[in-house]
Amino acid sequence: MEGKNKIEIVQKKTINTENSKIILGFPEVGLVGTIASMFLVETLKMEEVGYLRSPLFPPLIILHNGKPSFPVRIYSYDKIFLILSEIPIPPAAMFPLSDKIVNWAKENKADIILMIGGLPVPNRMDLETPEVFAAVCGEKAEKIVEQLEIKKLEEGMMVGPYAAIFMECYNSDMNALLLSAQAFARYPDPGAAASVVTILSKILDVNIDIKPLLERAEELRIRLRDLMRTTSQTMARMGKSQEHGIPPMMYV
Amino acid sequence: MGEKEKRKDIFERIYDMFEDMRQRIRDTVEEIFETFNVEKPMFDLREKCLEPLVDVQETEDHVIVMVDLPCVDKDAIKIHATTDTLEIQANMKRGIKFSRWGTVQREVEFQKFKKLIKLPSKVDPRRAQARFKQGILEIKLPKRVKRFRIEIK
Repeated sequence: MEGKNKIEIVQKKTINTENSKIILGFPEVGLVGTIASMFLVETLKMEEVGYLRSPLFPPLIILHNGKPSFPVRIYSYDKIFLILSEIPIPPAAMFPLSDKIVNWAKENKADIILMIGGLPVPNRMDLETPEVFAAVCGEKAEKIVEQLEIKKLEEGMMVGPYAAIFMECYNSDMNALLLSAQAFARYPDPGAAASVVTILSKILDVNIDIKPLLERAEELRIRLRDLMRTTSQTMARMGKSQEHGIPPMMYV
Repeated sequence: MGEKEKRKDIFERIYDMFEDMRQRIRDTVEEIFETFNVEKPMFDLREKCLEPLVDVQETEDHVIVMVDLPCVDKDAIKIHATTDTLEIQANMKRGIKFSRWGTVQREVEFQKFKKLIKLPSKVDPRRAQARFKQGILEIKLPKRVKRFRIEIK
């Protein structure tokens, strides 16, 4: 791998993303992206088709059943591709990563990039079913939001890897849709992940039962504590708390 | 007091002394981790205990502590507070088993949560309020600082 800022997409199998939907599940608020992505991989029996590697990622390998695998992997199912990360994206990797993913999607004529995230809300404890909000870029994304009657995030700030992806999508005319469920900021939130999966199943036109996810919610919250802790630390380093602030207004 | 009771009393005091020493060692280790910002593990294999995720927020009048306690019933939670610490202990509904824990890949089972939290301000623990919903414990502790209004002349 050349260059210390390089991100490389390694394909284990031929990937044809033409007219496909690319889902991104990165550890962020409430680990909503990671939990929802892991659940999709398991439920749809998605096949691992590649991975991303970079000197900007921590020197870390995941061992599962004695086999090593990269922490940022690509899965596929029909015309759906999913990039799942088991590590919080380091701030230094955010721009090179967004540049790589969006260019890859654009060059390979992908239809849309769908991002799964969490929206921290102070009253999450009192919400039985978290609501999903959307941030959109492009006409196709607008159309989906309109058809499914998803409330749009109208004002505010976005910080983190999804913000970098959004910037790149906006810059390259790529359709992008962020689905953000009301979530606990610092605790793994399978309930919020279930809300996003419900919406995603409609967008992807696949039948997904969220019951198994909700049944395992408590166990997942215990197993994901360490990832949540490192993710919280990374979020603090990238200034995620700015999202709670009032955005500067150019035109009042 | 008979000779037997006296001996029992001595052993109890020795036991208490060792307990006190153990607690002090724990506090010192905790302080070292905090001072040097070292990541300490979120579990204690010997006590089969997990450290819960905790979020401490401060408002003008309150310290608000939120603790993630999945697999726990409300009645199994014990909260003890002083003016500057909060101790949470909770037994789980069922043991949570990890079949391949750590580099040695051994099987471990955790049965409870335990955490001692140092509060950022002095509080009045007698006026604290707690609620438990969706596996999240929220404790609202009023600050002890009295505020006075200063008139501008």
